[in-house]
Amino acid sequence: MNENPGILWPAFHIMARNKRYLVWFYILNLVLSVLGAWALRGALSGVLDNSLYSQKLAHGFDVFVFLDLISRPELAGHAVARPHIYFTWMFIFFSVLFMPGVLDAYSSERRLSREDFWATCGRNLWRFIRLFVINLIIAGVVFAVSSGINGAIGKAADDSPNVKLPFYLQLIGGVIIFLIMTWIRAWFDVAQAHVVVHDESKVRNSIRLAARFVGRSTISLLACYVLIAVFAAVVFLAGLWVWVVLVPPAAVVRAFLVGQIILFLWLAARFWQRACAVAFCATRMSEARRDEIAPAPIVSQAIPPSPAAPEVGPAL
Amino acid sequence: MSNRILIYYFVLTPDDSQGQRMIFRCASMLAATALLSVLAFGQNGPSIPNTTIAINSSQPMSQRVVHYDIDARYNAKDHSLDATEILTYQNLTGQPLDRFPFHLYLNAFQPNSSWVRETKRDGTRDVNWDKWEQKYYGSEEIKRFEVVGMGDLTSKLQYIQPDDNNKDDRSVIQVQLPRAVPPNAYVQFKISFHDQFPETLERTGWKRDFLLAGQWFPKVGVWWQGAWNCHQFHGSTEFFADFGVYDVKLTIPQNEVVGASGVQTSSVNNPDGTKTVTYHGDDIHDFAWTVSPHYRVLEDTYQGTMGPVAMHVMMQSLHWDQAERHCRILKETLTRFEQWYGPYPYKTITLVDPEEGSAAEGMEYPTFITGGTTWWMPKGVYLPELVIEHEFGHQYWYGMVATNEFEDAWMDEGINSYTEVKVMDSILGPNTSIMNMWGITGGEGGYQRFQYKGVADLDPMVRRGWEYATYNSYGGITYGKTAVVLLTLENIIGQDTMRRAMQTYFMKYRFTHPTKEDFLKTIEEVSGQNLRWYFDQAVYGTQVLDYEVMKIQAYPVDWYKPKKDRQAAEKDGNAVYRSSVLIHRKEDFISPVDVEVRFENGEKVREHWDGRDRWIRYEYEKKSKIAAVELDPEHKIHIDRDNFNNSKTPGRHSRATWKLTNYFTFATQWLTQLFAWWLV
Repeated sequence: MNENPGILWPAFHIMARNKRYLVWFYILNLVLSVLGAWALRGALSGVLDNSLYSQKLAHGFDVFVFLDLISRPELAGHAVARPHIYFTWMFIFFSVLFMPGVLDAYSSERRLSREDFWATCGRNLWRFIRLFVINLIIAGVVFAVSSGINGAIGKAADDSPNVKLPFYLQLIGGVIIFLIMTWIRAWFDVAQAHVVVHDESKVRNSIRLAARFVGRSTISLLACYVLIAVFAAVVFLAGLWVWVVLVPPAAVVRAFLVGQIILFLWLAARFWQRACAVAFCATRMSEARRDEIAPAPIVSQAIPPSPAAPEVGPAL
Repeated sequence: MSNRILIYYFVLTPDDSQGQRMIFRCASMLAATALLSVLAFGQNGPSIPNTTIAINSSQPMSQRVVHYDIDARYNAKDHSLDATEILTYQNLTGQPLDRFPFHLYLNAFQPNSSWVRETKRDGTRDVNWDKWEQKYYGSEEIKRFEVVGMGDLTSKLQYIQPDDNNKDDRSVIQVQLPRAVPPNAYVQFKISFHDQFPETLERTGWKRDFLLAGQWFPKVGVWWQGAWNCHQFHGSTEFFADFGVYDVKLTIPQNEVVGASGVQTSSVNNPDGTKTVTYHGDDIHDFAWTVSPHYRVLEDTYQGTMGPVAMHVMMQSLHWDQAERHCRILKETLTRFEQWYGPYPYKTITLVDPEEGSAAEGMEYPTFITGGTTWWMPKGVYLPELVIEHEFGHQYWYGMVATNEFEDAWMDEGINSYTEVKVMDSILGPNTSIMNMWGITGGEGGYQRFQYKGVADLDPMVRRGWEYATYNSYGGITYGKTAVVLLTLENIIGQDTMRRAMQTYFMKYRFTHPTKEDFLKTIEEVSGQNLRWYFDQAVYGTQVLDYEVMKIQAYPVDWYKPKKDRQAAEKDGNAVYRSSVLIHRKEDFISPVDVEVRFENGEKVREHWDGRDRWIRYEYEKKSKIAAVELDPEHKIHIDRDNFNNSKTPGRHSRATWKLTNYFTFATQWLTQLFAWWLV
């Protein structure tokens, strides 16, 4: 953390300066989720809207009335969950599609024109798909292996005389898995930023370079990511507390607003992390590259500034 | 020695022929009669003690059939046990007995037993049988079997499978005696046996250094309704045994904390690092015990109507902060059972908090129950309370009334689930007796109904435990359906009448083995009503009750007049509407039902339908439209499978729909973001 005191807050300013992207992504997320929930709303309406029994859910939350409801055939899990799965994949696809434009904007001091935004998105779409797939494979394998090990440790500790031991081992294991996954996330975030900032067509180069630089700055970058994740978790839990304690059971609109504030801030946390990656890419990777080639000034032009190269502010 | 006439059956000749056997029987009866005078003067012979050490009564409370005198040594290293058992049995069947079956329950935990076959087929709460693991192996091996006066009959023992003919099942063994035991005579069995406990299955066995020893000794069957009743151990059956006296000596490592059925009468440290603890139980039909070095015991006393009851709350040290919580619910439950159903006569009740993660949670034995909690149990989730209440309730229905759990499981588990609803609702509130946390509530009545509704038409309540369609059906019908059937019955005959009926049933049939008709007739007698129409459908049948408000309609009687005339009449309040309500009986359970029709002007009309036809229509002409129609407005019929269709409003009230849609949207939005967080 101390190695990079300048990344966290400048990244926050980058995100805040480009808040329109955050808002658009939030709206996209909301619209897709509403669409995903539409089938459920229809099914619920058919059962609840004309029944007095629904008051047990409107003015409170009776868990057995709820179970009674969701065990009905018209509310069968797969029928209501399937649209949600489709719209989740759509959100992921749109994220892959639009993220290059967002990162380009993050790396730029000026406001990105609509044409530039779409041009960046189009130019990087295939690169980001490749990054997505590679990330999916690496993160998937690491997650599966580490979770398997964690599960095996927990099971092995199950017979320990200390009953809490399996829980604590699983908790520690969970934290370690979270840190590993966060490191991988940061690595691929930086690779994505590198691809966009340097208009790198060979994503493997970006992945390799990002791995090297993230590896060198593991503690500082990971600290930024973890701090932001902790912020997101705190916001989430605090928001749920407000929802449960302060919002009356029948106040649907207030509950909706509280929920959406939680989700907006949660999404903001992720965009803050991305801004950190862009800032890291723009400063550390470029500085390091310049340091590496300093003895031969002529080589300094070996990294031509890309059209979208960041002009990093003084704080960076 | 009791003042009762006792007959000691001496074995005179090892004769097998029929005629000689008759002569022998007569001779032995005469001999026994001749001995009466001797016995009256205190001659020692086998008998059932008439002790009252463990009960708050100066007289035995049950007809004591058995006396188990067991001396057991527990080997904590390999979770095994070696013991000798002297079982004295009095033949009160009214006929000579030459054949005795015994339960060897621990043999059920072997790969080809009926228990494992059935649980592999239908599932169990304890284990999924993906693979057989040696730790699940359990056995109960008889090393020597002697009948006093008849010699060593070990070689005569024979495994039998009265229920399913599974020759690999060894959970019941039978001995054929060379001579019959005449009526009223005693016979004494001396049995040496070795137990291997499994890692906890069916609430018996070990977990880490904890042991719960249940169903651990050879137990004789029950002569019931003119035959031996000694069923194999099945995946979803429990137990049945005769009342008697238990004297049990347990030799265990000195570091162990021990708890058991009955009262502890002595504890002696032995030079070899063990201790021998002795327990005595009166008027009980089973004996269980537990050891763990990690128990901490909270002692308390409950002042019962028959005398003080010592409460031993044996908590895992990890759960010690919940000891008061356990003790409180036990006391409150005891209070209600004594007030509502009858006195608790025993001097002790031991509540065991079993090892976390063990499958020993939630079990009942006489004067000994297990709870179930975790170290992180939230205060607003009343699962520990539910389990403790339920298991204590068994002290009455399983423990004292002692119905046949193999054949009439509903009479124990189901009646107990009904009283669980009554007691828990009384203590924690009707809608919050299971959960009241973060705005989420749940009550016992809803829980029992939910158990039942998924399996409503699969099995009747009166089915033998191992003959249910599925394990879920066994649970849903035995526990859930019985509870909602009795809750509905309570509303048919009245709450006070139902409570009197339950009390009458308990007091009349405690320490006996009543049948289903004993219970049902008691309710009819106390209520003074013929309830066969209800019992035939709800208890003996698989009929499902589901009524719905199918359609409501209202239109102005002058609908054919010009619109402006109708609007004027409406404005003046003179508009008259013709309304109709269509009620439909969707399923085959016929029951009378009340219908409440509410009008927009606040007027209410109450109808009563006998439910015999498939549907009924009610029509009204009033100066107001229908605002809502509700079937069973006082919510008396708990057995209705679908409560959502029991009411109808003409207009939509979408608050619940939007609320749940908002929950779902929030959850899916968050999950979508979470996936995208890690993937993109």
